[in-house]
Amino acid sequence: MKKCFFIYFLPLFFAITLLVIIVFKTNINSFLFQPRSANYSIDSTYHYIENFQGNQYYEEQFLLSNSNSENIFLLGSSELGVNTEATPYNFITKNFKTKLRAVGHAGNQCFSIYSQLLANENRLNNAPIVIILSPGWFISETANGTTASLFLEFNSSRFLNSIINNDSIANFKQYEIERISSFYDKIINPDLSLKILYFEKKLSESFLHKIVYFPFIKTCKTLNNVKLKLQSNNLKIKNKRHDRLPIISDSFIINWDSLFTYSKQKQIESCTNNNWFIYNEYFNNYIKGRTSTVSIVKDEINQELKDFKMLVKLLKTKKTKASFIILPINPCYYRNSNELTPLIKSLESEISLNNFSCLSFWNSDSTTFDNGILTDIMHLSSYGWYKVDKFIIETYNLAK
Amino acid sequence: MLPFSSFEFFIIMAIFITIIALSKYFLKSNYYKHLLVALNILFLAVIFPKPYHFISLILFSYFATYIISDIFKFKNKIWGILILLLPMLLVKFDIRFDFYPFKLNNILSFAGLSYASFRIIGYYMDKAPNEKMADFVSYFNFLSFTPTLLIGPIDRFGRFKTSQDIGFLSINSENFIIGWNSLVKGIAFKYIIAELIDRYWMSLYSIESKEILHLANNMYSYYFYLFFDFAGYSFMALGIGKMMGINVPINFTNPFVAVNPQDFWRRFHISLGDWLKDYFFTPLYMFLTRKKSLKKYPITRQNIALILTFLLMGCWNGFQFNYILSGFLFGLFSAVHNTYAIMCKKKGKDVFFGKMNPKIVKIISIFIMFNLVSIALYIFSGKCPL
Repeated sequence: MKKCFFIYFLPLFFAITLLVIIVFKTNINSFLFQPRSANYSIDSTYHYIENFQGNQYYEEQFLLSNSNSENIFLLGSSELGVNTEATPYNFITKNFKTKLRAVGHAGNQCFSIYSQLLANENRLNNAPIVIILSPGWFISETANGTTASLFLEFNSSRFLNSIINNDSIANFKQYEIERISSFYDKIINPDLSLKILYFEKKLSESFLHKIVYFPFIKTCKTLNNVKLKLQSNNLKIKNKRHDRLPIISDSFIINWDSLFTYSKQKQIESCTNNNWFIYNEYFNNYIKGRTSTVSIVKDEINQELKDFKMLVKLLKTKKTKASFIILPINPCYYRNSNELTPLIKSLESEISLNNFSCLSFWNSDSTTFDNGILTDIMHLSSYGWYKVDKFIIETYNLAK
Repeated sequence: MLPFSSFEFFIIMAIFITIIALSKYFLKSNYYKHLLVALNILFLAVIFPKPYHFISLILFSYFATYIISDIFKFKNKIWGILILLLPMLLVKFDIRFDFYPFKLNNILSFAGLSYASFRIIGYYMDKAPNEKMADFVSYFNFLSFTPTLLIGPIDRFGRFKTSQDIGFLSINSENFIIGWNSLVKGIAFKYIIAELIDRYWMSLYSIESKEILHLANNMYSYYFYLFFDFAGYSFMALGIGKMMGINVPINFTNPFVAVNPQDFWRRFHISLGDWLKDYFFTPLYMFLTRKKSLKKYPITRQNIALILTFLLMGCWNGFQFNYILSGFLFGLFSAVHNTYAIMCKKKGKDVFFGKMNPKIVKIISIFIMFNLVSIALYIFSGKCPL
């Protein structure tokens, strides 16, 4: 027994005591685990970031105005990676006083965007936000909604904590909890904030769950508060601007017709080995003359559609100046794209019912399709982006 | 929450151990299994992510085994095996239906399905034709015992039942200390060593790099990572099991010093090696022995059985090329070694090393085996860019 005490219980007791001291004594904790570099410089002229995971110091600037001009936020997925002169974060930012910041890459679907916006719901009122909807989100596997790994790329503990600590958004928070719980088990080593949200869902399942999870959620919340305290010490960003600035209308005349004609001609010229208007290299490497079909998912099991509806509801409730762009898919490549038309129509009607502006490029008829609008099978060409630029400029009155 | 996925799991296990230890003083020894089943159900129902799936699998396998072996009395066990493996096969084959556009895995798959399937097959194969079905409580405990729920070891029903029957008696300070040591060893393996390898060794070079030094680094680091991660799990399961009164079989004993493939599978994932030997290799070898065309070729029979056994092991992980190829490689190593061992036996001398010093032979064998295993596991990882 004596041996047991000295070999097992005493070291365990010391280990636990040490752990408690390190965790709860913020100054010790801060000293031990504080990141070494104290200066985090943020490029205030940034136009586009792929995600927040590698750019966590931009989280603080998300949905905020600049110090002297308004920012329009463009959220979307893979199409944002097509970096041309016409892409809005280049074209608008270069030519207008009001800037445009884009966030997203492949997989940043409705629930990921919903969560990013919910985390910053206090910045949503009147915020000019443009969301690009890709039809690809609503078909086959991707209709299952944002994947766990992609969700985490865009929604750090910082964002999730602001959802946890916000009691004014009960319905939206509940949806967030439900959705996170649906993929929680796919997350390896979940963060405390994720655990709290998951445990909250579990807590509501039964009385037994309540008994089991109550102590866990309390422990997680306590540890999370310690962590938040530390983080707030380490992440202090100056010159934050929380009030929205008016959008300035520049005296700027754009000859859209000539831009459209020129860019469309250029796109068509790059597609000489096929008559589907897909640029040569892509056609040679990936398409090789083959066609494909879209796998339609019924509305009842289409998680992405449910996420989209919640996203629209959130934007409506928070009175954002939101607008949507619905991308097309190449009707020559996707033989049955017309089968997707009812779903696209339902997206359009949901948007218009909530009085948001929408630019829909959707057309499943290959004979009337605006050739040259896409560069491949689902990504916009410069011609397509100029159309988007025009829509944004007109919707937000950027030009007099 | 999955077993071993977060510190809350260990708190739950500490509570379970305390309940069992205290119950020893209030309950008769034959109530141990009932207490254990209550705790296992509690874990499945409240903590485990897909409780209905797991409980349905237990019910399905129990009644299917009863129908197959006691009512229809199938003589050829292969049909019974296929029926019992149905849930796992549906997941592994990724079958899709028109009415459901997503992967069927999304609804059918759940953590621990593979290991549970192995245990189910083990029970079915061990059950003699006229033997009575196991009592449902013991069967439920066997499949749902929390520490081994997720990642094994692959226990046998008979062994588990013996251990369960003396559950309360096994709870004493001596076993507690053995369990505690094993748990600490597992924690150190999994959360310290494997974590350090993952963070600082495995990530040294890109997995896409084809430079020979980078490939070697990625290959060896993966072998060490896999061992410490997997052995860590097994030691933690063994430790918690011991403290709860159940003897969980040892699954790893220093595979790095294995001298040949046979020795390796006696040291690395022992329970899987034993399972494959007893339920696949031996019946397959017997089947091949009955084939007239192979009667004159005993070595070929053995080697075919070995290669097919390891191919099955590869397929168990999934029907991807890397798993199948690594399984084939392990089979090939075993077949080559088997031929070599038989030739040595026939000629009464070592046909490769001759009269070389046995100590040097051992060192060379360890070196060769270590590298062969590293290559096969590197392919298994799916991270090999070649």
